[in-house]
Amino acid sequence: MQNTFGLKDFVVLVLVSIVGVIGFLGMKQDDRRWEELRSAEEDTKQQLTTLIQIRDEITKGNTAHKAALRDVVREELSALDSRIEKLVNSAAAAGSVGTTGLPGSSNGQRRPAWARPGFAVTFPEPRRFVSDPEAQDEFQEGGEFFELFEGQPPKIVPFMYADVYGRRVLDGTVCEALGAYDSETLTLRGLLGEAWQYDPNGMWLRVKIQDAARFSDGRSVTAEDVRWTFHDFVFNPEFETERFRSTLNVIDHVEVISEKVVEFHFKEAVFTNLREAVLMFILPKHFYSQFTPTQLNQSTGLLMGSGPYRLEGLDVDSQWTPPRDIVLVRNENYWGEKPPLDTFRYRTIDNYAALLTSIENGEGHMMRGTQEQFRLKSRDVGFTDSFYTQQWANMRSGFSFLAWNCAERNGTPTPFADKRVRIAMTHLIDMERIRRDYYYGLGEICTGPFPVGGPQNSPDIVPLEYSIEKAKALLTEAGWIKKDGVLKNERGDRFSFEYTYGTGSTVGPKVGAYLRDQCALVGIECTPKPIDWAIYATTLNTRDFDCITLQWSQNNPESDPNQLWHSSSIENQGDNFTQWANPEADRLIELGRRSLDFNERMKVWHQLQKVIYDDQPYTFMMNPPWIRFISHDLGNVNTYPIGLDKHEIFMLP
Amino acid sequence: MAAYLIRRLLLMIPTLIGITFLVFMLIALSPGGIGAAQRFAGGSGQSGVDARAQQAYLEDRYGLDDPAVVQYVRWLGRISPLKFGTRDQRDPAGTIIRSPKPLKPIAMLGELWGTEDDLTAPGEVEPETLSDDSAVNNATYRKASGAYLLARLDYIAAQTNLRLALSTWGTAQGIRGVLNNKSKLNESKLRGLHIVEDGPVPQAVQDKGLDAASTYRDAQEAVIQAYERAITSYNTAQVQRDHLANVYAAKPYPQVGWSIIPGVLSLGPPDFGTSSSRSQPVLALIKTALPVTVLLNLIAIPIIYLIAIPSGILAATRAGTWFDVASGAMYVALWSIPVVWAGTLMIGFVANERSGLGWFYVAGLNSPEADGFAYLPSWPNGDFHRGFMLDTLLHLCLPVSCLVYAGFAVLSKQTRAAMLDNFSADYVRTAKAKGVADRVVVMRHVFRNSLLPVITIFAAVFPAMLAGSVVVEKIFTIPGMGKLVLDAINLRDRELLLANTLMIAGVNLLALLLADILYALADPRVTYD
Repeated sequence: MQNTFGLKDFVVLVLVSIVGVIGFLGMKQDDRRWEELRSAEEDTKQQLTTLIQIRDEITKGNTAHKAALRDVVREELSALDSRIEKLVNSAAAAGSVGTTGLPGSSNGQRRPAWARPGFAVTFPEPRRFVSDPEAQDEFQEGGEFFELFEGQPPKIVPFMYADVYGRRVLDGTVCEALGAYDSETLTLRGLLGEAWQYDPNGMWLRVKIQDAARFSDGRSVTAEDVRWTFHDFVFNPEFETERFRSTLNVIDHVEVISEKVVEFHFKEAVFTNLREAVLMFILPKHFYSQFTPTQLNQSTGLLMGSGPYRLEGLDVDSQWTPPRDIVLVRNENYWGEKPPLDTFRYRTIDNYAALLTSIENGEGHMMRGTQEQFRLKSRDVGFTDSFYTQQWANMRSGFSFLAWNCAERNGTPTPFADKRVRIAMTHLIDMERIRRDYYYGLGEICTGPFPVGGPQNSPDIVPLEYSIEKAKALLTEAGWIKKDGVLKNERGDRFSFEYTYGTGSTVGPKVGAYLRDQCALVGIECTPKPIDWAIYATTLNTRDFDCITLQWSQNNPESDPNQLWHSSSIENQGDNFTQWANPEADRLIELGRRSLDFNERMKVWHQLQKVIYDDQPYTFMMNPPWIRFISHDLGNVNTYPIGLDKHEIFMLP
Repeated sequence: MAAYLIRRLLLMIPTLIGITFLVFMLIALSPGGIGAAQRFAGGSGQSGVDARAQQAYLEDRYGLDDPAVVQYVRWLGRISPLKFGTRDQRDPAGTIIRSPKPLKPIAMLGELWGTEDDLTAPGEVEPETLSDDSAVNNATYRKASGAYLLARLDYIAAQTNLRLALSTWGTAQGIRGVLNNKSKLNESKLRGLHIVEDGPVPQAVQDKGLDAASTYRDAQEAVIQAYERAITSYNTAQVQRDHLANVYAAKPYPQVGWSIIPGVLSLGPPDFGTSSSRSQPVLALIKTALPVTVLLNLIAIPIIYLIAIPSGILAATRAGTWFDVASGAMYVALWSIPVVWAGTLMIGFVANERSGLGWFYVAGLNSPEADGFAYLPSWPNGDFHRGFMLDTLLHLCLPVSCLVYAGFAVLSKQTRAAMLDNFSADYVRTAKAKGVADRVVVMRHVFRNSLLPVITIFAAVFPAMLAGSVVVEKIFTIPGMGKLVLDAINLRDRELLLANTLMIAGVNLLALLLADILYALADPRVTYD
């Protein structure tokens, strides 16, 4: 065999690969253009359909035309009637508190035809701009808001998305529910729902859907869409919507009363009933029911709703797939008040350094920053000239904590079974220092599982004081005496424990090192133990830890404490993983959950927080704030307890 | 040569099975499971999610509740082009439809409570009569499969409920660990016990007092109810399964593949399954990620070779000179720089417009507006438009630099060493003595004979080209194979990980084979006959 491979061949090989790369790029661009063309075609088709609908309506035969006209007039009259009714009712009920206890809503004295007799009707205030963009200087319509995500959403299909990014893309922009939280007061306001009746016993809810409400393809939002979304989509076991079933399972069934009236029936009277029903996205049945379960489960970008924006170029055959930018364009058919921006663009860069560089280079208007970046950038004048550096606590902030195993680990009680030891541990930790050094001075120290500043949180409870002396005294009282530099109990057992945190966590190891030093001061041996996130669930389920750190996040202004704090959640590997059982807490949780009166319930939660605080099953650490860097190119950027209201924002000239 | 090739190719099959078996077992035996990592991603748990119910659904959907070996054999059966048993069918949406899964028996029925006779036995399969209209058949199948799925999930919920009731009942009489750390029933803990309705409370429980006895009775009652519910739901599900099996046997959809021995053996396309973390066919995910990685490497590898080999040759011809020392020192220095650090520095200093040079882009492969670009750079109306190709290349500059800089050292040192070995060989002296020009000696004699180590390195580099670089892809947000594999590991996405392993292992083995063939081509002394 001849030895033939020489330099010439090598150069040829290199040239061939260069040609290959150029060819590949050419094909790639061609593909992308083709997709662009398709999406443009799809948009045109949609607009054409709408136009044809309008034309058909106009050119219908004489009789049909008259009938249609009669219908339209009747509809208009009934809408007018209901508006007058609303005005009368709100005038009558001005200043009074609703039966549901929801501020911002008013009760009907006159009963509309759709309502159940004998029950009050609530006409919630429609959703509003807290800061009206049109009233601002330099207001203008149009422009693109370009947000950078730090994680890639694998799909943006409602009820099937698995992460916070999916929700950020479609919540309120593309998909809408019957109601929505007010950005500022966090009360429920009406969105697709025009009015509702909530059973004083909390077992049913009847909602009248806005007559004008339309999906982005122009079809009307009906009660059947609500029923279908709940029964045939979320609770259809063929669809991968499990994540949402566990919160929506307070609803027993949904009944269609008439085209625009729907009724929810609940399994038991719990305070979360109203919000779960009212905040469920309503999907267009006519669109989603054309797909098989496999098509939907495997879809990445089948996204349609009734919101002010729609997915650009929604095309079944060539859907949005990661890592392409997600682009939402203004829904020109929107039934409500249209927000100012033309488009929203979302792009993922999953590296914080690259994110920051990208936004500094002008590729993006908003990103989530780390605490360290915030500290650096909020002092960087060059940066703050072009960007707002915002940090604020809101209803989604959640809380971080150290959880103490209050019962047995592998059949042996941990030292933390004694409440005095748990209190001593909290006294040992200088929370101000943790806040200053590990959270860069950001966030609020919390004293309970409810957001600081929220109505559920009791303002009377202050953090336990940092005092080594108090800790020592409590430990001695609990029978831990220092011998040979180590605390020992009367049986001679050394006081040693493991502190478990997740690998990849930034604060976890720092807190671990601090905890170890503090424990050494009083003679406790603390061993930090990192574990993979994948085995966190197993560790919690088997209660195989002494002390563990985690952060709970929240989706609602008011959380249901049952899952974390009731003793029934200890059994069968429930989420009360500290195995903390307190009969008084159980009683308060049961009382609070059944109480449908907002103010009454808040009193109960305050008492519950005190009971938890007195027992310290968790050492509560921080409510870490949201951190956002937002470009000065945007106007009317305001931070709210709900987070941000992107619909208020406009592009400055 | 042909016999050698066939032997090597056949040997690949057991090797691949061995590799995938190892990886499969590693994932199956590692703690945590599908969904667990997603629930606690980043240390922030979502409260209000009933993780257990979700887990039970997922386990049933992906068949994770079977023993690991059974799961592996099933996976092997799916990816093998040789299929045993009846052929699968394919619905109009392209989904593979398999015969309905059988129901699992109720835990410890007959041993703790009741008898196995309480359960309806699976019926004989009698194909139903279907219509000629495929749309009607589709509807019939969908209806039957939906009904079975509902009934089956109800039965799974009943089983979960039974396990929990048994755990509570065990705790009530002082037996711990009835559920293991994966929430599975530890049957050995309950072996030898039997529930008698309204029977006496065990002495050990009675000794603990009245409260304990009452708790025990409540727990026992709950177990009996759970058994009754499980039996009812099992029987309902069995009826639905029989119905579905009958519809399936009537072949409502066209069959997949080609029959070899009807009903026993057939040939069919391999099915790599669906990714559990992204709910998408694994092949579709690889199809999107692979071209990106190949593109990156198609640019990076020639650059490495173009710079490292000539400088290796130069270093060898000028051994001991300043060029040899400087290039060697520089390459080793570059080789020692961690990619994470270099990448972050590049982003900060080369890409950042405000505090650095701002020459390149930091993330992705294209600018958002690139779709509207012309292909080549152009100057319409006198303004410069960079065009799609230049835009992509500008995006690729930093990631390619990161991939490239560490690669020079090994290759140039290898070339240099091989060249120096050959320089001292007799044939070089002879050539020089004959008066052959230096350039010709170096390029035609020495370099050609120094190619063997370069080929070896290429065999190692080629599979890495498909596996992707985890670090570079992560830093520059490039959706390639490295990122796909990393996500699959973090999220315990078994199907995705196995498909990737199979592909990378297969390419590795092929590359080794290719290297052996290239040896024979480059060096006439090497033969395989």
